[in-house]
Amino acid sequence: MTEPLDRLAKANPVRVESLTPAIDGVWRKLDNAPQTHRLPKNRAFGRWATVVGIAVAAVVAVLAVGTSGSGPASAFAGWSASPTTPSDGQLQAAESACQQRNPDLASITPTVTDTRGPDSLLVYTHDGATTTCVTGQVQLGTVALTRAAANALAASDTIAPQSIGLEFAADGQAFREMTGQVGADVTAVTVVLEGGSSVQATVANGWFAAWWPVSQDFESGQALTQSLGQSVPQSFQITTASGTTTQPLTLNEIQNATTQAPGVDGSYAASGSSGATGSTGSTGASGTSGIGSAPSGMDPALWASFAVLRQPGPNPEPEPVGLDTGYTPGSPSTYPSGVTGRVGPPTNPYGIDPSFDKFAAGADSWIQAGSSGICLVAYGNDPHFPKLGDGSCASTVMALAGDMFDRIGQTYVGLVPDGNTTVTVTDADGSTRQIPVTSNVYKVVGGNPSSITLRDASGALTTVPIPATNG
Amino acid sequence: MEQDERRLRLESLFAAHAPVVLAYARRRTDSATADDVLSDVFVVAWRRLEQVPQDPVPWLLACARNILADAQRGERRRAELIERLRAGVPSIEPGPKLDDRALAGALASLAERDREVLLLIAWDGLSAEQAATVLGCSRRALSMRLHRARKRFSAALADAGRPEPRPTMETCND
Repeated sequence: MTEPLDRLAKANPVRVESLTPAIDGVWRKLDNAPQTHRLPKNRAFGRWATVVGIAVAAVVAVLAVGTSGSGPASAFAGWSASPTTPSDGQLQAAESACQQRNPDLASITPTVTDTRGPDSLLVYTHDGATTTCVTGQVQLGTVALTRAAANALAASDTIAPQSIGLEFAADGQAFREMTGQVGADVTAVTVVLEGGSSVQATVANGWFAAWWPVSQDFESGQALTQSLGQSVPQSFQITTASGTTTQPLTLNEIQNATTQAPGVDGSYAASGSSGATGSTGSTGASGTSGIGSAPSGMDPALWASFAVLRQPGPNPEPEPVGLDTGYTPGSPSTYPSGVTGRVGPPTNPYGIDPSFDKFAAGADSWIQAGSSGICLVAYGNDPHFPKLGDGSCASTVMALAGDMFDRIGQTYVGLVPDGNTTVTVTDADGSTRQIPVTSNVYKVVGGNPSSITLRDASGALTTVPIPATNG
Repeated sequence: MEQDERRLRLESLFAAHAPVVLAYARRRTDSATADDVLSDVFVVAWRRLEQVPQDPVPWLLACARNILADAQRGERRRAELIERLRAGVPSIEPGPKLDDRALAGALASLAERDREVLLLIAWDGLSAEQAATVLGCSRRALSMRLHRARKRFSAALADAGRPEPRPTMETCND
């Protein structure tokens, strides 16, 4: 080694010997993977959680301990519309995998298990809660959401849905899972999906459970949207000794709570969302003339470049909580540390100020601006999980360059400056698609996007590559 | 591979090499991000356990390098950022500073492609062969690159006190 290199080696600021990292963080990340990218729930959703918390509540998705390497078409290879008999040791392995991931499950046995080919859904019911665990060959991704219901059994020949979940495999393919209680006379349950297909559930110990892939084919956005819709459970065929009847899927308790209840902290109305409906105004503004000046605390470049931030009036949607838990817009004293720049850096490097939050209608996203950067919180478009999504933040420079997007399963949502009515998406196979921009936000569903071409804030055409993710 | 076997394999991989990966990350970013990078690397290793080669260090560091580059490129912290913000943990802090100011100045004056190859050898303790794997280039290209980097570093050190680093991340070209 030459002398300068030697000198450099001696100046090594971090010595390996001084480090004793623990592996817990890795297991935790694997355990929590399905939850880390969840969209913050809206206030009403938070309220719902407390409403049903007494009766049912916490549903936990546990990362599967899976093998790698399944391609898109084979993520759910072996799945069948009827449950299959587990192979020797399959359930024991599944239970052990679930316990390994969630030690709380070690002392309980699953109430019902639903096996389809190599993968099983294990449902644990304990202390009024339901915990589900999908395991086997499927490798779970980072987005999962489960809604619990507090439905009571109305009669011995009926069923009462208790939870419904949507998860993404590591390759982005989605699947749904469902659990519920069955009346004493019920011998079989078939879940009928919107698209007309049906899935025979497993019935055991007073419960039913079933899971099914959303689609095996994501060739086009239309196909994905369609298959998401078609995979929604619509009704149940319930078999008893006296025949088969049909019961529609109702989750009224949840719906009412999510749409009508005020926020737990009473600040739901303060967000300006009560009763407000309709469009959020024009997004056609361009240039910097006639737009007034940026409010104090917001980067003027953001104000000038993103019409969505200049939308007047109250937002038509309640704000997502979780990201901004517990604050009352316009009341800085209620802002939690880290969410507002007013508590000062470095807790919030972009100085995000919740009072600037704007809802991008048509793109189901929230835009959250700050003094030096901006966040995009994008909602998915699932009928059961209208607030499913993800958050992503970037500096002003990145945002003005149009280099800001977020991935939710097979959906990419991005933020672009004014002047873009469409963006061009180039897929991995070289084909291109035009995607409309609404309120500075575009949403690309399905396909295999490799880059987005758009106009940056200067008006220049630019192409932003989409990096490969680790799933 | 059975699950138990996989788990054991990852645990032994971690026990043997996590300090090297963590040190690599800590030399290049703040400690909170470095911890994140470390667990991300081993999450990837878990998912691709079958692909981890016999000599895992270059593979693990290449993985860390990609994760770091991705994080730095987009300045995105996704949910983890938000979680960190909410937890009130400072999320942006510089990597470790060098006491030797002349050295720091010389290092900062180099282009990233020069600095990167030098640090892999001098700080991460890799052989030229291993560094070539991390950077995804041939052994021959690595030697050339290292040779040039050494020359420029020596010159810069002789003429210490130069300004501004160039921030781009480059791949290793022949």
